[in-house]
Amino acid sequence: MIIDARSLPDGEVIDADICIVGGGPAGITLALELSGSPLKVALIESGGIYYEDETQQLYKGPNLGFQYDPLDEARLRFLGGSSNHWSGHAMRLAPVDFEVRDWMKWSGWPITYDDVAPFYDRAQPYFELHEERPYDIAYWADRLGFDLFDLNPDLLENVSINQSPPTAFGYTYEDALRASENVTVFLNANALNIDSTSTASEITGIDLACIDGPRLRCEAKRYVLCMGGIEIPRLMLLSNKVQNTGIGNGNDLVGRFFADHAAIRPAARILAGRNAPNIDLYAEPYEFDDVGGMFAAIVPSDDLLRREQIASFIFHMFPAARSPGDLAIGQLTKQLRGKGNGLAPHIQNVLTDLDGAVNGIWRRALDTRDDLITREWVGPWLGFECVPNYDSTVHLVEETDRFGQRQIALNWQLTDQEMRTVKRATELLASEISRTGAGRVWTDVLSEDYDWPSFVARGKHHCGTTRMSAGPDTGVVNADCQVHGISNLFISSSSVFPTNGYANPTVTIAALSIRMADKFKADARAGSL
Amino acid sequence: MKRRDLLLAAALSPVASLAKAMPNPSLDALKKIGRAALAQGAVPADPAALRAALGLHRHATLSDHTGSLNAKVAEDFAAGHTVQVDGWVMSETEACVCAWIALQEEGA
Ligand SMILES: Cc1cc2nc3c(=O)[nH]c(=O)nc-3n(C[C@H](O)[C@H](O)[C@H](O)COP(=O)(O)OP(=O)(O)OC[C@H]3O[C@@H](n4cnc5c(N)ncnc54)[C@H](O)[C@@H]3O)c2cc1C
Repeated sequence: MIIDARSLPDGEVIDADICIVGGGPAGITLALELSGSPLKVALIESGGIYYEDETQQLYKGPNLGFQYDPLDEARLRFLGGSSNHWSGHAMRLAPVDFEVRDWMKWSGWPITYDDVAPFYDRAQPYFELHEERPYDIAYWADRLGFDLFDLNPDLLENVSINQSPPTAFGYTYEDALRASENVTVFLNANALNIDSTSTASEITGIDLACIDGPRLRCEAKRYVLCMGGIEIPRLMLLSNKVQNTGIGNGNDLVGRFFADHAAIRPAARILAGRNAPNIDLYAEPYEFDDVGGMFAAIVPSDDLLRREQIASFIFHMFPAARSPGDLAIGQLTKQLRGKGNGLAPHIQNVLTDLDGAVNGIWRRALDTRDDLITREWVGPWLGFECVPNYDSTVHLVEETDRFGQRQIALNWQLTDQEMRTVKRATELLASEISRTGAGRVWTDVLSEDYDWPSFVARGKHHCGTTRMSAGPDTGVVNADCQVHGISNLFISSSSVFPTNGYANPTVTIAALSIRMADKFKADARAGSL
Repeated sequence: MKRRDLLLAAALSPVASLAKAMPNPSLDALKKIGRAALAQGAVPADPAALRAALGLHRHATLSDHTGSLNAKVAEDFAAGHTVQVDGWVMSETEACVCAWIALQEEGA
């Protein structure tokens, strides 16, 4: 059922077994997994079915740190959440992402890849993706007749990114939510405060308000926060009636460790060589008829990440002409036009492939000159993981929204480690491309005075702010995504990711929601909800 | 073209079919790259050290070593032994070959 909460009488108390706050991919997946179960589920959503400006304004907040999108543009606040404008790139975390890496402080999840794997499989259909060996890039490249870069698997690997249509969760699942007998969606209801017992060990209710409408409350056995990695810590920090630092924030960890995927677009320019594969499968998704599609990218091997002090990264091998925001192109073009020190044209002419035989060089040179001129440029985009950083935060500021609630500010901080990751990743790609004769690489990233470009792209993947940990001293939620010390408060979001690898987060978020639904159903069956 | 240049050119396959597709077949480009690599300090400036880096025996020429240099270039990339010359990522061997040619020309 879907109800407009504005039609409810002021002071109404919504009663449920499970109260889910936030109707994006996390909340909707959880609700649909619980649909058909004996549990009474209330899904509380701030927005309506469509975008409305006055609701979206509630997402406003200042950026105080590293360059970032305005916070009211970096996410959407209506049914479906940010899946209403996401790109639909679906990937799984790698096993190494869950592991403790000694050099990376705060790394390691309290669960392993294998704990999540079965739920990844079940998450796949929610994103309207194919289910036959979805992440087996060698299998699909072979089957579809594409070549892949011939990489040293000890260093770099080709991976498959699945391309969701992209599924807009509100639009796609509206009918299923409407039809559900045990799930009720309350639209236009904003969670403003979480109430707890006097020891803050159990949640007793969540206060809700509609814009220019009634004030409501939801009381349930369990509460799940699914409002995204910025709004979840905001609500927890705002809920400070009992714990004055905010609910679940006894150790000052709520809102810390904000992380996202950043990207240099492009990190290099590759003059494709004779052995370069056709990059079509990297450049755009191969689309299937009935479900989404897939495309290829280059990532580090797990072993490389275990061996080296380097965070994770991903290269999208896009044709250079299709790389927007391309600072390096300008520099390169200038050089090619001879405005630099005049060296680049010579190198461009000279370093083109590695397979020349000694005899007849000049002859071949003259014969194949045209070949060279028509060669393609590739402009690899480099996305990279930011290591857990205690000082990278979201926190409340004095400015308030229309409900008088303090806004949240983002103070995203990058460290030297991110620069090391960018440089090493570029170096590895350049070596592998050159070694295999796939091309020759030009980059400014490896120069000593390289600094962050004026535009570093952001994934808008809000991770880390309520991180998962074995104990309360290193994180906010436990391995079941239950807030440490609070028996009935749970979180499903990328905010629980202690580290975030190279993968876009949403498939993992959905997998964790499915896992949580299974737990709730099992607990209900066991009478321990 | 001088016979000496031809021989040199023939030796240059380790530098990626060097000279292939040069608009005006010339070794100037290679020398320029070599000089840039030297100026950047990306390769040893001392001919003896360069010889050693390239594994050239005392009286041998580059062309005597083509096979081994080719392999060395591939090994360089596999091991990440690269240098950047004006933003271009070259193997250390490639840069050394260019530098060696540049120094030879200067009568070093
Ligand atoms: C431009 C863009 C492109 C992206 N591309 C990709 C991609 O290709 N692949 C990928 O994996 N990820 C991508 N993402 C990230 C992806 O959109 C998020 O990971 C995903 O939407 C998170 O789902 P969620 O349900 O946790 O949170 P959200 O989608 O943010 O949903 C939160 C929901 O909570 C509601 N809400 C917020 N506050 C309250 C409140 N106080 N009370 C009640 N309800 C509230 C909101 O209205 C919203 O519906 C992209 C994001 C953006 C912005």
